[in-house]
Amino acid sequence: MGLLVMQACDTVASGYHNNMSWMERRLGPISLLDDSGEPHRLDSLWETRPAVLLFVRHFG
Amino acid sequence: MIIGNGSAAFAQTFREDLDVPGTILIDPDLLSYRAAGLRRGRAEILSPRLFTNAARALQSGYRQNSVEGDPWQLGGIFVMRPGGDLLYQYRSREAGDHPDPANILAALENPEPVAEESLPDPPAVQRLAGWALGAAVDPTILFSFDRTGFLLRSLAFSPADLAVDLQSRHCVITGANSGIGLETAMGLADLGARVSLLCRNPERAAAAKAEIEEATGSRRVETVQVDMSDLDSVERAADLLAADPVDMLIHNAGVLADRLEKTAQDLELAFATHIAGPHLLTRRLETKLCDSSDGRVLWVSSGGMYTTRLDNERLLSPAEPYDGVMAYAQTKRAQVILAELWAERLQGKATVHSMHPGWADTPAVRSSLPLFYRIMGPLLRSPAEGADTLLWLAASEAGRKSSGKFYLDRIERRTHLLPLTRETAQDRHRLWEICEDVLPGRDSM
Repeated sequence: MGLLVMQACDTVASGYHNNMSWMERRLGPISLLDDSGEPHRLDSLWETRPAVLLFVRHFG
Repeated sequence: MIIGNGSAAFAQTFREDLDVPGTILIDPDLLSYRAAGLRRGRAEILSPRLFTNAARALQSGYRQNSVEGDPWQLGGIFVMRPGGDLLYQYRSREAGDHPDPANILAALENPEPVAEESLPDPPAVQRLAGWALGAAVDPTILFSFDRTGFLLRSLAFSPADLAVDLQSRHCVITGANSGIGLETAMGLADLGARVSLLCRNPERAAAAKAEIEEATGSRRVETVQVDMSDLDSVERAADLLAADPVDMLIHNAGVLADRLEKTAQDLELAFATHIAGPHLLTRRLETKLCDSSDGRVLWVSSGGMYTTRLDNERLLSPAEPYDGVMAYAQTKRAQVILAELWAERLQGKATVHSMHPGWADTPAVRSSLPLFYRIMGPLLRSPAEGADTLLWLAASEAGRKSSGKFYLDRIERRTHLLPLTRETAQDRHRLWEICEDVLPGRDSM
């Protein structure tokens, strides 16, 4: 019974997860510091608006 | 926002020099670069167009200052929208390779999700080097099973093999609260699978569940308490799993005892944990695995099995004085054969493989083989490296192109290095009989 309840909760909770793109699952949970030392979880960057992620080779 | 491969100090200087607004993030460990599948390599940086691209940059007024970070890492551009859809992607193929900004603006103005292209394969030269160097260290055993072998062979790995979506799949894995089991469960969850962690210790299982959820964002991780050496416990776990489809069963739980121990059913501990318990669980989940469109059963064996020949009677009655290492090797040899027998039984219905993870730095190795760990420490694979082939067999299309094989580092391997370790057909038949005989009345199939 416990597994059935868990599965029902998972089905509700996983609706968002199931619609995630592969890139969202790969990048989203990663947390990086900004140049002031503040942490940012990557999926927070596109939570409310589109985000352009520009990966540079190096600074300089 | 900009993500860079360096320190905060360099990022601040970068911001001041170029008057960059907005968010600048630093990733000196290249976690996000690897997650995004961005290319890295000397051949990509030192390409023939390096000088023409540099000249073009100079002409546009750019001047190279001192740099920091991995010089061989390439960049790229991704556009993500709320909800996690990918609107645009570009992965640089060489230094100075940049997309047309008009394409990025177009993606923002007409936001339709793009099909996510598969991750780039390494260059042919790199793959060839991986195969050749990996084959060269094979005979050494030491540099094959240790981290050296993995690093060399991984040169040939195709990232696209694990660019898969496992959201429709339920994976059951034993011994999943630490080491290779935990890393495999982590990888499966990261690929979207529903994962059931079968563990003996509920506190450690809960901790593993939390760790996987934190690392992957998954909310589809469950725990089931089971002692794989206790057939009654295995039966109860099978009952709990009975309500749901099961697509994948991974037998990872292991033990290396230093003295003779008997289980509740009076079976030797290594035999019960590595053979009897997994055989029973596979029997109980057999119908579900066959009903799956892509059912897989995987057994985590050990390179130690190469040292021994199957001795069926010793599985039930180990020689005295008890030798835990020998019992371990014996049961690991038996696992490989049992996996082959299961592959024959499930032919055409489900895929079955066994593998060995190489010599990995896991809590089990540290506690069970302390001298080995002290000697080999720096050369041991990380748990993630040890789990790589298991995850690949579980998730990739390549993993189901055949059945009944034995793998190390994503390559099919011989199961015998010495002629004297070969078993007879009678030995194999007897092993199956033993596995069935210790389950009286537990399976009516």
